[in-house]
Amino acid sequence: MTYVQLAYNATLGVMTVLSLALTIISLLGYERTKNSKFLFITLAFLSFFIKGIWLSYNSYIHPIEIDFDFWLPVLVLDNIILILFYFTTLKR
Amino acid sequence: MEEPELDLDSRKRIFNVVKEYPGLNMKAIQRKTELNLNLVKYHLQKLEEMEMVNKVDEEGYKRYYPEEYDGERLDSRDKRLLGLLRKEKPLAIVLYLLNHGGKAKHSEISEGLDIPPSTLSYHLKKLKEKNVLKEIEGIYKIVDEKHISHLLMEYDPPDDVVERFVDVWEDFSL
Repeated sequence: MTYVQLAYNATLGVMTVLSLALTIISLLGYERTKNSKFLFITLAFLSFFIKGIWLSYNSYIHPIEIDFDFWLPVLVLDNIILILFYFTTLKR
Repeated sequence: MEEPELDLDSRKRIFNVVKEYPGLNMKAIQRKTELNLNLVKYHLQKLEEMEMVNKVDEEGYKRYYPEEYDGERLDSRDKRLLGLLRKEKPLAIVLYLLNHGGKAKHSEISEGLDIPPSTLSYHLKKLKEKNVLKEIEGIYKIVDEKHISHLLMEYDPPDDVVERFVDVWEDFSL
């Protein structure tokens, strides 16, 4: 496994876990408020989570077909987006 | 004084939330009661008219307090304190001091709570203005430790991670 592949897997793992955490928190927010806005936010974070699962599945099944040099920066950007969301909404 | 009877179930729920968590704003009360916001607004107005709760404007937030708690009236100082202790950072600072003998240096609090010095100075200034803390030769000390401990025991802060998330996103609109 190359360093790029390792970095790809690590970044993918962080993205999946972070998006799952934010999905659960936003779903609890919906449970608490019954405000439909939180369902849309849940769907947004859920989409990130599905993307994480989908890419993990593909990197496991067809690792050779993945262009890691292309996907690594994409995932890093996804992580930056999620981390910024995390700090914006959960930290004061 | 005997508590006036509340014939409506929702009004009773709202009143109970205000009693349990004095210093919440209207949206937080709405979330706790899971009632429609307009209904909460209506009942809070009615409760104010009945002199069972009152509203205090604190830095742009309208916070609601029961007129009495266990037969005792909450004075304006307690209301201001509770409003301040509903916020995460001031609460963390006060709890840190209580856990460290009621006093600590700026650098100790900053390191202990992992708060940047400038942010900490801002919150310490607010706490000093409200007479929660005093500064003597660079050491911050809780003015009335017993009273603050009592307030914190009586009025459990409801804040959690979901509450913070909801606070940010509920106010967000284009």
